[in-house]
Amino acid sequence: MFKYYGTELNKRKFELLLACAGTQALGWEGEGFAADELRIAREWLRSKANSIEGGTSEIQLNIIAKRVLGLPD
Amino acid sequence: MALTLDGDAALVRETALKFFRERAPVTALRKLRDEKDPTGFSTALWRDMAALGWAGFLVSEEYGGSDFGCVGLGQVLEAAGRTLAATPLISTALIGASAFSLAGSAAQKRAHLPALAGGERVVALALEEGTHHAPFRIATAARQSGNGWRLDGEKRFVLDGQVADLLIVAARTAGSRDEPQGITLFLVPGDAKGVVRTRTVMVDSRNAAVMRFNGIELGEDAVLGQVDAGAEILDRVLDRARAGLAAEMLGSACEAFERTVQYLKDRKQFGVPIGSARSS
Repeated sequence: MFKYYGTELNKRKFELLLACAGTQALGWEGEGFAADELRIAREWLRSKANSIEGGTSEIQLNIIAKRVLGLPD
Repeated sequence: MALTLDGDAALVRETALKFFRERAPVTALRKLRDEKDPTGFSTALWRDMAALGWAGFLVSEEYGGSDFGCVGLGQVLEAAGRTLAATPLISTALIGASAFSLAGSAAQKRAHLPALAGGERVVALALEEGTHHAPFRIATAARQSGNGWRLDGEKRFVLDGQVADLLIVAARTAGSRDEPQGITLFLVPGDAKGVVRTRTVMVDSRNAAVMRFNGIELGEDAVLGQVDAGAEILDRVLDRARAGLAAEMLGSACEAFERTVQYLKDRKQFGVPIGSARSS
């Protein structure tokens, strides 16, 4: 459950950061951006993989259904 | 307006799809990115696109274009989106050509459109000043100076700004910062004295620049359209620009979807194609 919720929340966090920072969050490297602005685009991209690696969100929900709610296989 | 393409537009679509697949596949963009190409696109490719007429689709025949129209240009943009091709299609063929066609005087059109349609002049619209799209939130100021104007201010996210031969700068000649009324469009040579341009490296590896205008001296003939009435022109130009961007994004989205579906059929894990699993 923590894996599912944490990764989905992380994705939402970076979507929100992007929406707030606008074009300043879309820099890749170099001039015109602060150091923590440059991290946003890269971490936003990386966060998309969080809900796939280590068992996808869909699989996590299957596991929750079986173990926590006791639903059949 | 029909929702299916007529013969001419369908032919442009087929030609464009083939052109970008062969001449500007995704590897071309990666090469520009990895080699930190200073222009950010291939001028040879752009010239060939102009030879095919694509740079002049929104330019009338009188000035070297074909007036083929937005639907035709949309096909080219969609095809370019499929391979993430870096070209001045949006900045120049769409926005620049539209601005001149909708608001240029005969003299201005004569001076710039033939070169634009010929792939020899790149135009960039310098509009945004903040981090979110706000076309009428303009503080860059143009003040009357002698028989002309003096331009001061800063613009961000100028597409193809660092390589543009000509800039179309939205500046305030009247009114308060957020008012549409009081915005005027000015033609500024890219290398004019007092123009400082800094290229920004963006996540999409395309061209965008920050620009400072320090006391640029401009003549009366630099005004595109009417003084204080630039917002109406911007509205119409931006409508076309948004549709064109959507066409390009449609191409990228379709390509990403098709590659994903193919991958699901090709990639095997645990002895079976991954697309055969119910959930993975």
